[in-house]
Amino acid sequence: MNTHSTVQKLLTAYALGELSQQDTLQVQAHLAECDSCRDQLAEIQAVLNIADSMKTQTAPQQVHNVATQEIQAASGRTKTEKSEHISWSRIMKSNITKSAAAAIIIIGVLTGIYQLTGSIDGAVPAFADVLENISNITSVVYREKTEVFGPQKLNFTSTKMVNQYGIIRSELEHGQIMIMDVANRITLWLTPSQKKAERYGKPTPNMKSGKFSYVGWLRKLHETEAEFAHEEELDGIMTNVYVWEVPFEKITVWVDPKINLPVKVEHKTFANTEQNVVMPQLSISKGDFGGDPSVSAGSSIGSGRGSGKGISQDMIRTLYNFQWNVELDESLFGLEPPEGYTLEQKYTEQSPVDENSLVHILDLWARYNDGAFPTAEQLNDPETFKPLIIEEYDGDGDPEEEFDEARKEVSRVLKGIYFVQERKVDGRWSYVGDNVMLGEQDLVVCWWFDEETDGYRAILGDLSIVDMEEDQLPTQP
Amino acid sequence: MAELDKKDFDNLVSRHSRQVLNTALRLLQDENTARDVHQEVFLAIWQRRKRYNSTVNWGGYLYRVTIRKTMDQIRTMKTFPTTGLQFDHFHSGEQSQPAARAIAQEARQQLSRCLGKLADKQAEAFTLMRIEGLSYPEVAAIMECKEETVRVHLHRALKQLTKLMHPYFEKGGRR
Repeated sequence: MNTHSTVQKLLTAYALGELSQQDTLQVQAHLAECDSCRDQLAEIQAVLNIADSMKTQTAPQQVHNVATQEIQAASGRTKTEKSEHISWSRIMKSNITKSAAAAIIIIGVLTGIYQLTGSIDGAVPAFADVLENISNITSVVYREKTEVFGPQKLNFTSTKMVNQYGIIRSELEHGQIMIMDVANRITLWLTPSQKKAERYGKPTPNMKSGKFSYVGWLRKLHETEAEFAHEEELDGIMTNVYVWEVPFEKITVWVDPKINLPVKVEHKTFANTEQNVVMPQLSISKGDFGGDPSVSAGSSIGSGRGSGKGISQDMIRTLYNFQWNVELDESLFGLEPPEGYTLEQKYTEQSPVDENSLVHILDLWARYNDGAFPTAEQLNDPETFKPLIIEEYDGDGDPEEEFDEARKEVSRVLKGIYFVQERKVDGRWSYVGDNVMLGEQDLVVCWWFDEETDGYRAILGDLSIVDMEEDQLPTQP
Repeated sequence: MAELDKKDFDNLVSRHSRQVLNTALRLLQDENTARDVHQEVFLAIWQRRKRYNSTVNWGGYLYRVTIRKTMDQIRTMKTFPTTGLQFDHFHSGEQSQPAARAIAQEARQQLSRCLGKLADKQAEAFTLMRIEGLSYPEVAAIMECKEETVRVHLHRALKQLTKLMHPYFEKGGRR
C-alpha cells in the first residue's frame, strides 16, 4: 500500500489526536506534499470545529424553566390542561392524547394548537401572518364537508362552531349534535329527535377551561411553513392560495388578503397503498346483539394520528363559509344535556395503542381459531375480527349492554391493527405468525423495532413479549 | 422492574432536565423544537413508569433517548436552506459578526442533518464524544459497549460526516 492511501486512512485518527508519535510524523510528512490529503483534513477539521461550536451552547434559564414546568404539569394532570405554548407535535406524540384521539368515534374531529415560524419573500404576506391573525380570533363558525373515498365511501357535511374556550359544537346534517371540550376530553352527543344524550368523559367542578386555538386543519402547518402558491379568484374575491404538502397529505388554504384570514381550506389525505397500510375502521350494529338493527356504531383510528404517514383513507375535508368573531351563546357549548333529555354516561375505552393492543387481538383470534394466529392479510383487515367480536359479546344478556361492551372491544381491536400499521410504515416490522400455534413459546409470531427501548421486540407463540437481538430475528418465510 | 412514582419522576426531571434540553438544543439549534423533544423524552418515561428497571443509569439512558428522538425530529424536518455558505469562518474561528453567526448556525444545522443520516450508533457516539464532550469510558458505559467499539463508531461517523458535508463545503467556495 502506498503512503497516500495509508495516510488517507489515518486522517480521522490524526484529526482526533489519536495517532502514535510515529504515525503522526508519517502523516505530517505526507501532508506537506499532498494537496488532496490537506484538503480532506481541512474538511474533517471543519466538521470537528462545527461540533465544537455546538458543545458550548446551553438553553437559557428561562427556556429551561418553561420546559420543566411543562413536563411537570403534563405528568401531573389527569385531565389535560394544555398550555397554549404546547405545540401540536408534542400533543400528538404523547400517548395521553393518542388514546384520547383514538377514543373519538367520528372521522376527523381533531384539534390542534399550532406554532409557526417562517416567511415568504415578496409582497404576499407569509402564512405565519395568517396564523397570527387567527390567534387573535375568539370564535369561528364554518361549514365542513367530509368526503371519504374507497370501499367505505362516506360523505357528510356539518356546521362547526368554536368558542373562546376551544369547545367545538358540530351540527350534523341528520340532526345529531356533538359538543366536544378538547381540553378536558369530554364529548356530548345529542339526538334531538329522541331527546337523547350520550356523554363520554365527565365534567368536574374545578375543570379548567381551554382557550380558542381550534385550528385542527392547520395543525400540521407549524412543523414547516405553508408556501404561497398562486392567486385565485374564489366567489368574486382574489385570494392568496397557500399550499402545504407532504407524502400522503396536502393542505390548501385560500386567504382573503383584505382580512388576511382563510375563506376556504381543503385538507386531503391519501392512503399508503404501496405498503398496503389501512386506516383501521369497523362498524357494528346493535342488531348483531339482538337489539335495534338500525343503530350502528363505527369506529376508526388514524385520521389525525396517521395522516402524513399514509395510515389514512383517501379523504378530502373542505372548510368554507367562515364567519370569524361571531357572538356565540354559551348555552350552545354546555356539556350538560338540555332539559328534557335523558343522559347516558358512557365510559371511553382508554387503553393506549401499544404492544399489548397487538397481543390482545392475537389472543382473541387464536382463541376462536383453534390456536392458529391470523395471516398477515387477516391481521390487516378489521372486518375479519368482526365475527369474533360478536361471538365474544353476544349472549343472552341485555343487547344494549352487550353492544356497549362490543364497542369497546372494537376500539381495542382497531388499536391492535393500528399498532401494526405504524410498525409497517416504519419499515421495521415482520409478521411470521402464519405457522405458529398459540402456546408455542419458542416461536416468534412477529417482531419490530421499538424506538423507546432502542431494540427489537418480539411476540412469541405464548404471547409473551421479549427483547431480541438483531441476529436472533427470524427472516420472512 | 420497578415503578416510578410522581415524586421520583419530578426528581428525575429536575436532575436531568437541563442535560436533555441542552443536548436537544445543540442538535436542533431551535429552542421550541428542543422543548418538544424534552417533553417527548420525559413523557415517554412517565407513560412507561410501571416498567422501569430500578438499576437503570438515568443519565446515560436519557442521553440515548434524547439523541434518538432528536434524530427522528431532524429526519422529519424540511431541508435547511443551503445558500452559498462560507465555511472558511470555521477555520479562523471568526464568529463574532452577525453574518458569521448566521453562517455558523446554518453549518450546525447542516451537521445535525447529516448526523440524522448516520446509523444510530454512529450518531450517538459522535454526539456524545464531540458535542457533549464525554470521554471514551463514559460513552462506552452509556452505549453499553467496549471503548474500542465506541472508537470504531466515532471514526466511521467522522468519515461519513465529512463525506456528507463535502457538498456544503464546496458550495462555500473552498475550492
